[in-house]
Amino acid sequence: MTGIPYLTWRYLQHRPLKSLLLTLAVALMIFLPLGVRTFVNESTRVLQNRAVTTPLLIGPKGSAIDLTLASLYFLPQQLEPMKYLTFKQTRALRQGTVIPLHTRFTAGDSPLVGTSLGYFEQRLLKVAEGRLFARIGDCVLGADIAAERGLRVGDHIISSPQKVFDLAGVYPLKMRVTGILKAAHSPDDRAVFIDLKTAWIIEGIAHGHENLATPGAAHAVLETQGNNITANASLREFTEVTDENIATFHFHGNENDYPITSLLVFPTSEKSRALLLGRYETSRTTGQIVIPADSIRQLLDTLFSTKYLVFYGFLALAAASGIMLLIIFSLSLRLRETELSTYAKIGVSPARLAAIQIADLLVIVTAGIFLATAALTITKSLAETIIPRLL
Amino acid sequence: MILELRDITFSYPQATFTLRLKYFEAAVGEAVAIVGPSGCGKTTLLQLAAGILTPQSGNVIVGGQSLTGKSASERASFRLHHIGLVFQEFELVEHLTVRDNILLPLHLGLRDQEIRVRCEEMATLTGIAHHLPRSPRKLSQGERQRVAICRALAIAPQLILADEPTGNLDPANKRAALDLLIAQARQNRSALVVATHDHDLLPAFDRVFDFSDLFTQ
Repeated sequence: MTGIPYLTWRYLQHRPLKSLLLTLAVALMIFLPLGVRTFVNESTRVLQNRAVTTPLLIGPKGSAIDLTLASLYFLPQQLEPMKYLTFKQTRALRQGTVIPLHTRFTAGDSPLVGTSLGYFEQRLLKVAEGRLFARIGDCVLGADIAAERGLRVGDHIISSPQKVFDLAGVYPLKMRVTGILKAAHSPDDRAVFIDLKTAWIIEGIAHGHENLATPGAAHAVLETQGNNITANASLREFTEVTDENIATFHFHGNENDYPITSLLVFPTSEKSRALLLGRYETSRTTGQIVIPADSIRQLLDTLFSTKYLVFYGFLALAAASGIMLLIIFSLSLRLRETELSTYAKIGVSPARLAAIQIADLLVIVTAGIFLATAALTITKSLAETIIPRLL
Repeated sequence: MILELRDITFSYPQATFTLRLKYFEAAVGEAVAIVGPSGCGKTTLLQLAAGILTPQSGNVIVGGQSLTGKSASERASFRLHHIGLVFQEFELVEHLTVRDNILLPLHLGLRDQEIRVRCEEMATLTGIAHHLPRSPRKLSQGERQRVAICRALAIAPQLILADEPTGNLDPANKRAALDLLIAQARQNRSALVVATHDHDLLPAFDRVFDFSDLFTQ
């Protein structure tokens, strides 16, 4: 290497720390405002993508945003449960595909999503390993949660108890992993999917236990009146569904009253959509119908109402940094006066001398732009993965 | 003649002194000393001869080419290719190695790859070859001066202009530096013009030009 590039390289090399700091300053100056904008735009895009792929959402009355966050992003929200009857009634309208959701429970910090097999079809989720759940007690893991916990098909995962000291509350259920989903870069990647009936077992509506009619369970019999046997507290309830005990699991109460969180509705046509919307707007139902895209737009408007303030704040900071950089460069030129004067005396044309003067500035700015572009590209590509996790 | 200055008039902007020079010349292989007290115009004459300054009137001719009709860029290019300069303060670039300092004309646009060969030759001749990869900051004054002389000579110039080249050297180094310049000028058939106020060195020159009376008020 010879000429101006060589002289510039040697000059920058002579003051590596200064060169590095200036490059980082330029990179930050560019990255901060644009990075904020990229992150906000990607957040918006990721959130809206999920919302627009869910045409309608039916849930209990209350906050439409809470309902959307609980049903689309599986964020824990205090929602009144909805009756399973609503699912039956909505499905009976034959206006589209209706998917029930139960999102009240978790397994560690991962949401447990009770649903039907139709969910995977509507969300275009594919199995990477194993198969979907086939019976109660089975579960299917999102890609991220499986990778993070190192779980494979055949392993087990336990639901988290709601209250440690509530003996009458929800007991943990040990569930068999039957499948792992391919990464979808959505909240599905961090969810544990179970059949709705499995969710009801965790809810305590269904359970399996020793057969009280067998001699081995005599210790647990408190009272027998005809066909009715009352058990005492020593009765052993099953905390895992196995091939041996699955037949003992049974439900109590009226199925129509079983709790669900919400319904995802995929209308067959615009007309169906309008009919469903109209039904909930006009009838005296206990629930509400929500257009998730509208809820998310409303949420984003609130969340990012300050984004322009932040953006312009960083822009002002970038401008101030730019002025400081110019001052630093002009001071640097003064330090190089003797060197540049020598070049001029030896025989450098004024144009070449000017080129030497701005070459290090150009290199630093170019390196800064390159760094900032790389950081922006990484931000954009990571945003898709990170944002669902941040949620 | 390699260098001719004719009917030169020059004054710095807003200065009260004017340099008037009827005629000055330096022939092929000739070593000319310019003497005179500080401020008499020795450096100005060298800068006029190099084309760094342009006279208000008169003509500067180097190697048969008039510099006064050339633009600043053309004069710079001519200087880079044909005139070797040695400065009193050496003016070495501290963040470059000794080799890069000698090859500086190449980095500044000289289109002569032979300079690389001459750089090695000159460094060997002046005894600084082992310093080539080092920084000039680590050299003694005498060594630094030799680097500056090597830089001026490496382009095989027609004209060598040296401004007080021995001003910062001890007597032994002074003589060695001057002998080197004169020997190289004669060997390469260059003209050597040295501005100096050191009268002890004058016998070494072919001709001495006393500049004392040229600045007129």
